[in-house]
Amino acid sequence: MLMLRVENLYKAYRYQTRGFLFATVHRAIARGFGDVTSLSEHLEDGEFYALHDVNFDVARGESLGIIGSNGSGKSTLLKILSRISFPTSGQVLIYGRTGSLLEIGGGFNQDLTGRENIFLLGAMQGMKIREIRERFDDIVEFAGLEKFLETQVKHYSSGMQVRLSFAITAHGRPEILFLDEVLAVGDLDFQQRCVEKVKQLQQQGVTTLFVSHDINKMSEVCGRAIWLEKGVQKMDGKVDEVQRAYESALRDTKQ
Amino acid sequence: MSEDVSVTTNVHRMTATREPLFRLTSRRRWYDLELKEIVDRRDLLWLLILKRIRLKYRQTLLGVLWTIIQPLAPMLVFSLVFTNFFSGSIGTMAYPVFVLAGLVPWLYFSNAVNAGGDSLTSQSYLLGRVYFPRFMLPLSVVLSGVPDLLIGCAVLSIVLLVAGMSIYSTLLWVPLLLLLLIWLALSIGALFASLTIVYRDIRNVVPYFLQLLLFLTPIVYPPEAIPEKWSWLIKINPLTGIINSFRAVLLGESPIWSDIAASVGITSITCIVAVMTFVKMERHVAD
Repeated sequence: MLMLRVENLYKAYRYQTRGFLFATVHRAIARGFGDVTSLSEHLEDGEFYALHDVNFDVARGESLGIIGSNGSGKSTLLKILSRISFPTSGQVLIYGRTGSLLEIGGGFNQDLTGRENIFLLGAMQGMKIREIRERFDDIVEFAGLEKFLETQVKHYSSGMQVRLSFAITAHGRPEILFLDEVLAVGDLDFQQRCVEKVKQLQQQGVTTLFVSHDINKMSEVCGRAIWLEKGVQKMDGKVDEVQRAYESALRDTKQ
Repeated sequence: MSEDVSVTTNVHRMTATREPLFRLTSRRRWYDLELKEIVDRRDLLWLLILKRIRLKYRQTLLGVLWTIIQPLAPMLVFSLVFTNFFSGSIGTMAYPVFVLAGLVPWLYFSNAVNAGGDSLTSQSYLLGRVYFPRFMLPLSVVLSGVPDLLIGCAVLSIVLLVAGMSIYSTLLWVPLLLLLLIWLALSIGALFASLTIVYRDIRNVVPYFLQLLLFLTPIVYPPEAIPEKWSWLIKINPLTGIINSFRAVLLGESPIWSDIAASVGITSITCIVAVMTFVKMERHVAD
């Protein structure tokens, strides 16, 4: 069953920031001369593609990894899928409730207590207050923060914040889960618990999309992988095939 | 192996048997504030409002007392300076009551526009990490000031009683006037919020704008104090109708409908411009 479809997805970013007046006048002149026909074909001055014609489908229960070096567009892709950023052209179709964990550990209001933040972040991940109440104890137990619920989050260590934000997202019961580099943070013990939690969610039929540049860790939780290079989709296949191709390409560039 | 590297794989498409929950594209309709999703996620809206109220009173010395002092202190100062100056031209109302009746709606408006204009930039740490309808931020900020507004109204009614004024049934118009005030504050706050995302200098414009507006609104002076030639400046100000009618209903008169109509008209236009700008600018939030 189809859960996610990415169709001819483009994302252009501006690498020069200019004043409003200059940019507007410049664009108006360019349009007036018929310079800008279609964004997927022509970039405006000072723009580059972070994503260039990306296409894939993801089925229910599938676990897809997105691999690529820094600047390959994988985090941009995840930001668009989690509706934080907009496509420049093309479209994304989403067939289920989503949960996302980008830049783990962030998003807390530092002046609120742990308890208050669980409610606020839980609601941002799409939970209702009633649902948060029901799962509250599970979240706290997974994060191991029973003693610190009434403490302001600014007094938490970064490890505590990471654990709490993962716990909230994992208990949001998403049908599609987007994870960005999350298994690379926290101590080893917690990383292991995260991997187990992700596997457990996958067994329950949750579709996971997972971004990393560490393909070894990825092969632990993903069956399929997509390799992005400078915004272009280079390969889409079984995780071990993509791993071999990616690693041999890395060796080639080093030599 | 290396020849595999340059090959882009064919896309394996599945058949879609149902309508997608979300369709993410580059374009959105100009009025699409995702209101349906805001209603669906009203729990989040409630928590955002609660958060602001909690943070406002956390670690404060005076707590709610501040909310009471906020309109009373300028009332005393203005009364000290202007009582003799205006007391001939404001009818039956004592000047302190007159100025307080203008200050209560004004303070709500100015706080809401200030905080509303900041609502996106000050919480950008959230916007890059998790999705929720962005309009919820200015909306929650503007709504979180409503308890303070109601406290202000309570202070005003105590002052009315102390001043020996009667309580009239026309006070039933007050909720309507407050709704109009909230709508106006939301429109202008959301407009500034969305402009601030792209043009950071707007942030400095907001306090300046509010300061000028304070002088262009009949708060410390009666509308008649403005020379005839310039009275249109006061008339196009949507706050004028609200504040004049607010004073009228305190005296047992009905709202000044022509002023209210003008105010509703200008607020509607502001609202449409704000929505268009917000929807257009919102996409730059995370980029």
